[in-house]
Amino acid sequence: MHLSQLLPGMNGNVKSFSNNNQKLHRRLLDMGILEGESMRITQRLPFNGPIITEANNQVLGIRFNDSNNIEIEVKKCGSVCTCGKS
Amino acid sequence: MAQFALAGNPNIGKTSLFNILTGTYEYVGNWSGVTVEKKVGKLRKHNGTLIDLPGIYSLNPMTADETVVTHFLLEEGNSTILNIVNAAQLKRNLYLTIQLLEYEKPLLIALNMIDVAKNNGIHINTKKLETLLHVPVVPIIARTGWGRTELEEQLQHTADQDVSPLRVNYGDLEYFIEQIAGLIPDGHISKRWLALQIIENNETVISTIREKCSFEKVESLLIVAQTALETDDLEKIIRKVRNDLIHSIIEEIEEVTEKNQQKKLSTEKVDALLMHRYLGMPIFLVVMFLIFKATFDWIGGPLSEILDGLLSGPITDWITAGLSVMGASSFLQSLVIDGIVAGVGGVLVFIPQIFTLFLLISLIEDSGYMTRVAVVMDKLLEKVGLNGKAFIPMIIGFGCNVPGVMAARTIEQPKERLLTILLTPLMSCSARLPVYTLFAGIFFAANQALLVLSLYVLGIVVALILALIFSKTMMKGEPSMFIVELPPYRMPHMQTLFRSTWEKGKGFLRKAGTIIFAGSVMIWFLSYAGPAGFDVEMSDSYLAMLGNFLGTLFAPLGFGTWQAGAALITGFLAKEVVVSTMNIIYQAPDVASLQVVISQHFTMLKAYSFMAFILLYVPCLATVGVIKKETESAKWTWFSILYGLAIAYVLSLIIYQGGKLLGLE
Repeated sequence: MHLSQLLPGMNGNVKSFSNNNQKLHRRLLDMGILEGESMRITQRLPFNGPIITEANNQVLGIRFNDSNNIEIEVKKCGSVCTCGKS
Repeated sequence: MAQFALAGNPNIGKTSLFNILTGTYEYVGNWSGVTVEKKVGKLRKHNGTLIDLPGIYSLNPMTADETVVTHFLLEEGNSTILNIVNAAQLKRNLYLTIQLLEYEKPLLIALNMIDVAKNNGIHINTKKLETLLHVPVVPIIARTGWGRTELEEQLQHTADQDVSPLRVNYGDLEYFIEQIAGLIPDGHISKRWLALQIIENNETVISTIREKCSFEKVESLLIVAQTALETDDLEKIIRKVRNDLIHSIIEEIEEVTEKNQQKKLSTEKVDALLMHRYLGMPIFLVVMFLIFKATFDWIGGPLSEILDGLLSGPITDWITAGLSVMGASSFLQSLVIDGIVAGVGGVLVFIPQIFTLFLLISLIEDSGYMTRVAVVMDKLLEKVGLNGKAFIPMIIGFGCNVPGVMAARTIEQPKERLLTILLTPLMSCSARLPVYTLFAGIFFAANQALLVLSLYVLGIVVALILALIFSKTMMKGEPSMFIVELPPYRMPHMQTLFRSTWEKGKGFLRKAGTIIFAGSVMIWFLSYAGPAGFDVEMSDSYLAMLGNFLGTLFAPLGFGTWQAGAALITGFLAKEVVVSTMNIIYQAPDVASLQVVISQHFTMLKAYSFMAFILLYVPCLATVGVIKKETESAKWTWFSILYGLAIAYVLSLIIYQGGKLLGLE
């Protein structure tokens, strides 16, 4: 599942990064977002706007298209989860 | 004299620390990239200087301001590094620390925000951290100044001590690190560090080394290494070793107890409102509206009236009396009263408005709201070929375009940075406020704040449309991206806020004493002299001749008088000079009497057309200078002047002629 597909309240661990945008990948690594890191979605902006996520003790805003490059393994769902997995 | 360099991640209190250590003040803000240039301050306690470097996540730069740090390390080898580390985010911060330790120069860690860490339930064993990294670690709270004395003591110690560098073992890569280091010629910088940076593909380092040694050998070694280690990504190996090391360090020194969830939740709640799906953008507009309301109606306006009364009343009287006592010639009297007092004084009255605006912009910067606005705006900006980060230079540009243009350095893509540089001058800066205040007071007295908001929005809308056109037609793009760190909201620190306002406002006062002063003298002289000699009728002066030519050109826009033409020429020096010029040529010593004269020469529609023209027509002299410096291109500098003139002409024409058709005249 891509980060962009997660709903607010859901969290999971980074499984892999796609190689589409090297700069983005490097910036994420620089910010301490490595494979295995836990990410939690707190908010989403409308019309596929940026996604607000909490990872590695910091809050980040990431563009929807960019968050498509982050593959997430959903671990557990929050109370508002509608993803159907648990 | 010892030299120290302050380096660390963005948003972790670096500039605050700089301020408490140096006494002299530098600009602080709560968003990535406040420090866009290397700044130097004198240390309070030692005979030494401290250099404030831009915030970076790693030494491998991705933006123009990050490159500043790498360049600094490559060029200046005899600084002691003061590495500020956020105690609440050790994992991310230590990555940079390791890269800095490998630089093998004296280094000292200031472990900041230990109060925040404690609130998050994080307890750090600093003694153990010192042992593991072989460097001193001093816990501090930069915002309150806690721990400053210990840090100052330690600074001197560290500078005098020998370095026992941390040597990370990169395993199979070690052989190649040594081989590459062996190819690098001797210099003042650690060869091992250079070799590691080359393997990490740090292009700034590579381009420097390329000039100094036969780089083909390095390149072939890199290929051998890739084959030997069966990977095309050597950087990944380095990262992994470092991250494993950080992981083991944190295991040893950090103890996490129960977290205090409250703070986190309240930040999330505020975020939910400020970046709300539908309310986010309206909230931003309301915030801007309140800022203008405070600037004009609540704080700035009333104070300005008092100041105007003082300047045009008692102060002018004293100067006049003083001049006649001294027996000054009529030439000198006219120069001082009709030129300098009218011109410079006419602008000084706006000090309250300008300082109020600067105070409120500083408040937005310091609170953490700025990056949220960037997030809210990203979708819109993506559609026109920019990203949300471009909005930050634009908001800074509302204060003054010069730092706005410089703040564009934090944008990753060169194309988006160039676009932001070119469009930031369309943001209505504080220098344009005197013009609006003057005209709004006459024609839009009841809705000043709303009218000014309309001009700011006009500037933003024009910038967005032009961004779309420019990015589609003239600039080739590389893949865009938007990722931004949202710092926790912070209660603005009063002292920091006032100092930051003062720093910004100081520029305005300096301008009043230099460009506005010189401009006023020049305008007065041009209005005093004509082909017939000195002390001519104003309408026979050189200024009238110059203005007349432009006046004809501007007739279709509604302001075809020589006075308007002359004011626009001088407005290029600095936008406030438009008001100075009008004070001088309409021979009106204060705001009230100038407004009476203007109401005879303009109508509401003409006034709006004139204000729109002032908003858009050319960046001021200082902004043109900084555009030249930042783009390093004469072509783009000229472009920024010419497109401004064209768009201003077309828009004012539409406003005036359209308004006339609608019967607004």
